Formats: sequence, structure tokens, C-alpha cells
Amino acid sequence: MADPRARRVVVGAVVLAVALAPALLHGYALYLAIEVVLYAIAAVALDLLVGYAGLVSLGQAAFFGLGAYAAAIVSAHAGPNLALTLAAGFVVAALFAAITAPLSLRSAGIFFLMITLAFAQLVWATADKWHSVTGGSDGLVVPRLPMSDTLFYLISVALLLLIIAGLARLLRSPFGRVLEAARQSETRTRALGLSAFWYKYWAFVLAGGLTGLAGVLHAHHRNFVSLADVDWTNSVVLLVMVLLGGARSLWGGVIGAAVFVLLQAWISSRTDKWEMFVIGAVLIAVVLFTRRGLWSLVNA
Amino acid sequence: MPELIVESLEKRFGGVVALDDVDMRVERAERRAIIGPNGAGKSTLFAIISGEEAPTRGSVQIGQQRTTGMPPERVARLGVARTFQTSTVLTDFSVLDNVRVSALRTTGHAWTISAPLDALADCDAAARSALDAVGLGEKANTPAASLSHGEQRQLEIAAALVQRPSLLLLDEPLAGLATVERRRIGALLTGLPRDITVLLIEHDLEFAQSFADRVTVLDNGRVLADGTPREVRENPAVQAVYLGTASPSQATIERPRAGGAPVPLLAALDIASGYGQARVLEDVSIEVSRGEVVAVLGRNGMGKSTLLNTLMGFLPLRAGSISFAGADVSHAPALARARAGIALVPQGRRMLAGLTVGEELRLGARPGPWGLARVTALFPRLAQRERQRSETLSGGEQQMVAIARALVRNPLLLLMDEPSEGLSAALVHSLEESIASLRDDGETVLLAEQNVDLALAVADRVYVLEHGRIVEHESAGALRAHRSRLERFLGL
Repeated sequence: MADPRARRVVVGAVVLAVALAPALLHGYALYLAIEVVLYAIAAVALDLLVGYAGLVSLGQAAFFGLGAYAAAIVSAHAGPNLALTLAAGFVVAALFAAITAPLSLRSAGIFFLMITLAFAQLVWATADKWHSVTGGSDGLVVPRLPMSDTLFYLISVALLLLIIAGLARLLRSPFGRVLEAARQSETRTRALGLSAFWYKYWAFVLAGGLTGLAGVLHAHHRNFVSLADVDWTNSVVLLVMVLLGGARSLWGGVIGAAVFVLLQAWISSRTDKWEMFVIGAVLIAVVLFTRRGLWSLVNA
Repeated sequence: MPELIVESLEKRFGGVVALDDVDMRVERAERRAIIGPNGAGKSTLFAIISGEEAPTRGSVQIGQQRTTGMPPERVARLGVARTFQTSTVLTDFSVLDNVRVSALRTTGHAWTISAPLDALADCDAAARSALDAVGLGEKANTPAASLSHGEQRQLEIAAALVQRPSLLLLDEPLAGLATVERRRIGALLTGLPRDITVLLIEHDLEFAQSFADRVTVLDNGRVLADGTPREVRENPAVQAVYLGTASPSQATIERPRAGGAPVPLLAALDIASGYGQARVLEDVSIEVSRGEVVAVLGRNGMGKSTLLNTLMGFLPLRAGSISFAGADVSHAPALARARAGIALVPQGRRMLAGLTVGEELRLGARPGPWGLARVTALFPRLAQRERQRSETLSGGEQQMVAIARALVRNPLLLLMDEPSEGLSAALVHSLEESIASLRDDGETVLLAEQNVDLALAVADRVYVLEHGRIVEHESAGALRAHRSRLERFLGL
């Protein structure tokens, strides 16, 4: 397969086949496939931050949860309309990112991680206390979308592929390359007359919005929104997915999400105690033996 | 018309004054060299001009624009480009992408999202011609991380030139380069378009003086001299800084030496070492005997620190062998060498954040003749400062802490890396006395210095390092009688 064009056609066909095949599934298998896709969207968005911008965020649950609550609240008032809830989820999550980014981006490394976590905890606390809007610890029921699970899966997977294609293009553009330059040396990037801050800012806002989309899909998928969606462990799960799949490749996020969701489902069908133990062991093995995640094995 | 005006610039970092009332005026299209010992404030001056650091006081004007306190990206947009002392090449990118990204602002593509970077024809053309200019055209598609140290320097310069600067700041472009690479980069810089205003920091004085129209000499954060290369060369104050002729003590204390063959404590044989791709030391052999003070002289960038860091085990040995106290330590880790009895007074002092002077000294203490009481007797100043955080001390006081910290380890061998750096003349004198008293107590010291007078006053033997090789080895007494032999290597 020396011809790169032939290679691209084959890879494209395989991706499409893998993406479309679950549409033939039913019941729990289809449920898991949807779960994989919506987590993949959030993981790909986090990959943009971790792998390309060098921003390790531990606050992604906030954007995920904001998207989910937006979907529930909009559905309750305007009826279950996927286009509307997706738009609302994206805007609310991106807005929260836009507001918190100036403070978060003042710090780097472990401090960035702590500040994003702190902002996410603010969202969690608000969701917990603001009972009249969020239902507090009771959560909110999301009315069913007027579509089959198969169609919902196809829409979700189309959205995922669209996001990956868009981000891949963005990352090849000057914007994406400057973002990567800022990760490698902020001093140099600024000395080139490029404002590292604003590149990171817009990447953070975009990742926030995309994570909001994942939250919207999650709300419709489960027909329920609860405090668990904004819980900080959700942020950890997303980071684990990115590390499993491998940062610095968008497909890494997809692979990480698939491995995590399927492994978790498989283990919990056998035991209810060892889930995190096995996932932890897998993560350790991946980090020790591949360094760049599972994607590096596929892409070798 | 002036391109750059710097007025009454002052910069303090905690207790250290990096720049003290610096005035400078550089005309448009002028080439200005800025020279001075390490710690003189040269890089700080660049950092303030380019906006990375805000001055404590004073102002900077570039062209017609007052830029004091402006962030670096805005200063860059005024036409200021710079290279960095330690390479900041983007190592995850190809050579070509490094320069393409550097060309984005001037080609107006900084915020383009609609087209891939490699499809921007103007950006690509500018990047390739800049790479050709520095002689890296062939390497365009190699990863920047695989470039040699010298090639990374070339890449830094290409990335600066592609911005079409009106003011170019070059921070030690020749540092750490081997002779061939120095010639290549030197020729490249000399051949730059004459309409670019260039500020050059360089320790290679021959190059700096042949390149520049005017030279500014910084010393201890102050402008010591300013003039044509010839005026500066003949300035007695400048000669004093570089050759130490103004040092108060010329008399040295000859001490009786024990008879018999000296016992070699440290022996390095044909060692080679360096950083990443760059080989800094080549075929260096030195010996230090018990109870001896040995000095390694050389200008900056000649490999003195690399030598001490290699002996300490911070840098891996590429060739040769090192034995210490009869054992082979060629590949022993630094911790093992420290336990075997080698202590390093590092260049730049490296105070431990958050600790007081007393804590720093107690932390490293090991049983032996040197205790807290004895080091504070040597440096009475430290007794007064015992409860103060070491980071907040002045530069000279931090140097005392660094020396005392090494002494309380009661080492068999004390490595000192430019202990006189950043010290005032008076402090250098008291440092000289302390090393002399260490020597009289029978301690073994290997001293890397640029200050010839200090070294000749305290050392038994002297090695001279030039471009990573030993070019001279002589007893200090003989060199005291024939200083001219040193000036060939160290002189202006």
C-alpha cells in the first residue's frame, strides 16, 4: 500500500465500516456503541487541549454537565428537539469556558489542573444546590427524542466524524500550528509576535463547546441528567481515555473511549468490585509500554 | 536617528540588582555588541527590551514608540526579532515548520484557519529562502530535534530573519559552537543586510569587536564603557574586568609543600562530554592531587562548567575515564560521587527555594572539621543572615551560602564553578582569602575561573581551556611570571 491515496481510501472505508456497523446492533450493544461515541466526542475535545495545546484540564465534567443540564432544561421547555439542545449545550458550555478561561490560563501545569477542577466543582455545587432548576440530587428526567436509537446512533457518529475532520483541518492550519508552538515554547511563540494566550483561549472555548455537545447526547441517551454527570470523576474518566488512546492524535481519543467504555461494561458484567482495578492496571501497562497510547500501536 | 533608546534602566530580582541605571542609545542600522562578564546583566537587558521582563525603573523606546512594560508579542510586532541564549527551537516540528510558523505574522497568516500551514505559498517561500540563507535548506524536512547544537543556532537565526526585523537581538549566537560552526555563523551574521539594527551579546570578543560598530561593556549591571571597539579595547577599566589587573592583591602566599610525590585524588583521562548533539569537551585530561588547589581558566563557553559538571556526574561521559580516590567513577551517578566526597559549588548558586540560610547549611552537613560554626567564622555575614531566606540574599551573599553549603559536606574535593561571578571587587578579594585559607588547611580544590588574578593568587597549578580542549598546563608560579602566556587565550 505504497500509494498514499490508495491507503487513504482503504483507511476511510474501514473507518466508515466500523462507524456504521453498530447501526445493525440492538439493545444493550447499541446502547454501548452510543456510549462510546458520545464519550469519544468529549475525549477528542480534551485531546485538543492535552495533546495539542498542552493544557491538562481536570474540569471537563463541568462542560459535559452543562451540556447535559442545558439539554434537559431546553427539552423540558421547548420539547425534545436535538438540533436545539445541541445548539444550547454548545453555547452554554462554550460560554462557561470563555468566562473561566482568562483565570485558568493564567496558570500552567498542576495549577491549571487545579483551577479547572475548582471551576468544575463550582458547577457541581450549583447543580446540587439550585434545586428548582437542576433538581438537585434528584436530577432531571429528559423526555425521549422522537427518533429510533439507530438514528440517534447515526447522528452521533456523524457528529463525531465531523468534529474529527474539522479539528484535523484546524490543527493543520496556522492556528493549530501556533497552538502547538505555544505548547513547546511560550516564550518563543510570543517573541514571534504571536499572542500565545489567545490561541489557547479559543482552543479552550472550542473544547468546552464540543464537550457540551457530548453532554447533550449523553442526556438524551440516558433520558436523565444527574449530579453524576458533573462529578469530578467524570473529568478523570475523560483524562484516562485520552491517556489510554494517546494524546496528540485525535483518533487516540476515540480508541481510548471505546476501550474504556467496553472494558468497563465487560468487567462490570462479571464482577462489581474489580472494575477500576482492571482499568487502572490497563492504564499502567499502556503508559509504561506504549508511552504515546494505544493509537501508536495502530498507527505504527 | 535612534532605533533604540534605553534610559536609567534598573532591574532587581529579589536581592540581586541585575541592571543598575543603564543608559544606551543605538542608531538605526548600527551594529552594537554588548559584552561583559557573566551575570553582568546582558541577557536581562535583552529580556527587558523584548518585553519578557518589566524593568523595576527606567524606560525603553524602540523607534518612536515607548515600549516599557509592553508584552513581548506587541514588541515583536514593532519589528523586533530575537534569538535566545538557550535554544528555544520547536523540537516537535520539522525545521521548515519552525521557520514557517515564524513567518506567519509578517505574511499576515497568524489567524488563518481555512488553509493548512503547508499550503501557504508566501509563507513557504519566505521560510525556504531564510533556511537557504543560513545554510539549512537541505535540512528543511528533518525534525528540528535531530539538528546539532550548531544547526539549531542556525535555525534560530533563520527564524529571526524570516520576520524581516528592523531590530535584531542576538544572544550569544556563537556560544557552544565548534570552530567550523563558529566560522559559518560568524560569516552569516557579518553578511546580514546592513539596514538591520543589530544588538549582539557575545563572549567571543574577537568576533564581537570585528562585527560591531560600537561596543557597550556591562559589568555588575552597569555600563562600564561604551565606544568603538578600539576605544573599548584600550579602556583600562575594561581590561581590569577581563584580566583582573585591578584586583587588590598581587602578592600571593607561597606555602610550604610536603615533599614526595603528590597523591592523585582525581584523575580525568581523555574525557569527552557535551549536551545533546553538541560536544563541548574533547580529549581533556586533568589531575588534582590531595591538598592541591588547581585552577581551570578559560573564557565563557570554552567548557569550564561542562568540565566540572562532568566530573560531578551531572553530564554523561562520552569518552575517557574519571577516577576519584582510587576508584573508577567514570559512570557513577552524581549522588554516588557526592557520597564519595566530591562537592560542587555550582555556577549561578542555585539556592533552594523557601529555605533559610541556616536550613540550607544544616541540610547538607556531614560530620567532619567543617561545621556551621566554622563556616560562619569564615563568612561572618552568614551568621547575621542565618534566619533569612537564602533566595532573598544578594548575589554575593548567595555565593557565600553556596560555598559554605559545599564546605559543610566536608568533601575530599571541592569543585568551584566561577565563584567570583557576580561578586564585587571587595568580595572577590575576601573570596580569594577564603580559598587561600582553605588551601592552607590542606583542602583540595578545583576552581574554574575567568578571573586570572584570583586563580593565579590561590592556585598551585593552572590548566587553560580553549574551545573544549586543554591548551596550556603550567604551575601558577610560572604563569605569574609570564602573564602574557595567558593573555593569548584570555586577553582582549
